[in-house]
Amino acid sequence: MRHVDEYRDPARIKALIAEISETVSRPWTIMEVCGGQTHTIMKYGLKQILPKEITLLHGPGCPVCVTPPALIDQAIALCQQPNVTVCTFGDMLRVPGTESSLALAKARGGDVRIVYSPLDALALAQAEPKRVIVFFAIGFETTAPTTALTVYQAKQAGLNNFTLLVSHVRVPPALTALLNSSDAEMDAFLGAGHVCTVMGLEEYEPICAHYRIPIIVTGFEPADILEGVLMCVQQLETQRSNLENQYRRAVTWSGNQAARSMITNVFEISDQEWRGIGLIEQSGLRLRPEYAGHDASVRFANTLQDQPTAIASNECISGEVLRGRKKPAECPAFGTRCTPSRPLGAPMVSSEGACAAYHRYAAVPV
Amino acid sequence: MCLALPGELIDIDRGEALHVGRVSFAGTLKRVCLAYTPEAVPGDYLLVHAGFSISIVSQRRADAIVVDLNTALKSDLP
Ligand code: SF4
Repeated sequence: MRHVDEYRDPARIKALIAEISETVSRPWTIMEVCGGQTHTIMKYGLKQILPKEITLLHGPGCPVCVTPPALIDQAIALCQQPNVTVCTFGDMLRVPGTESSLALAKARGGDVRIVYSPLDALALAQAEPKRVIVFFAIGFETTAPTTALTVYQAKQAGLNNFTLLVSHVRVPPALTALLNSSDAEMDAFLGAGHVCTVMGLEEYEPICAHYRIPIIVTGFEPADILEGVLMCVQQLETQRSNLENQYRRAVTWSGNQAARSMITNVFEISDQEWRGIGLIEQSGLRLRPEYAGHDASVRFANTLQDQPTAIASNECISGEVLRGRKKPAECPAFGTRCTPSRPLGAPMVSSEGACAAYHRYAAVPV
Repeated sequence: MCLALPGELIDIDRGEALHVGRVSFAGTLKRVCLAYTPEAVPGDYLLVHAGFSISIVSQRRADAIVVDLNTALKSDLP
């Protein structure tokens, strides 16, 4: 596949490893922000082929993993209401809420449907005018414009049976929160390439300057990750802390302007709870008041206010994993009480979760 | 979730309310909303996420060597 195969070319990978080895002179710790990058690292065994001086930490960029259990509980409550259908991405189905999951609720008769795109949920609202469709909108800034345009279309078309249960999160406040914690260990970040495809780079420059940390916005193929690591090491070895763009084929300085304006039209910035991590100020997006008619949390306020408070499982250490403080294999439940078929926590479910990546590629020594 | 794959735009459907086209991913065709890359033309490679094209993949930018933040990074080469 064009724009993919050339970034998996063994000769290119070998040359990058050789260049990293020649450049590095002391230990450095680099955090990849996005769970998609974590999967590439595990799938291609990149940790094993990098020089021993480089430690990779896995970051919080797994949208399914950070969606608060209270919202999953709300989605479960809604799918059991008469004439209500909850639509969401497949990854979300098996993620445990407080006591159940959407998959279990579906098995017990709840109306839950998997969609590939929010537009599929909109088409369902058109096809089934007697049902209220709730699209459980999770995801980072990559996904927010897809939700935004969909609800904008619904409003334009007067489709009042289309609603959103929103759990969109923003990357820059999460990076700042990680850097503000006293035990932050990372010397550099590999920035999330697809988030920046939408948002551009300008939000990250003040973070580099304030915390004196290099951020290299990086793609998702093995050669992308290794080039990102090389660019980090080149900066760290020469005491630089700049913003650089490895993922030039997709990311521009100002990102996708049309997508950014649609996000701003539809959403406003809010404080947001991250599963396992806690509240991060200004890190979420919520619907603007003019979209209240399409906001499931407003439309179903009576049903949702009776929900018991979510209680986090005390065995899952996903918060430590998402902050890069612990590796999945350090969790006592990993691979025993917590497996992809019986997950205790979200990072074991999602295709971007670090625990799922470690479990799936366990043949590769870690 | 944040996964996005590059696919080739095959044709554009002008009859829809939303700007939509067919994109080929190694031979598999999918309908994709083009509202965020309205300038895309058949033959372009698009980065597609959740049924939406979010960027036109640029070989020229891929080949550019970033030497200077102020010129290369902020120039927004097409
Ligand atoms: S292995 Fe399971 S229980 Fe442990 S942190 Fe990962 S998801 Fe949570």
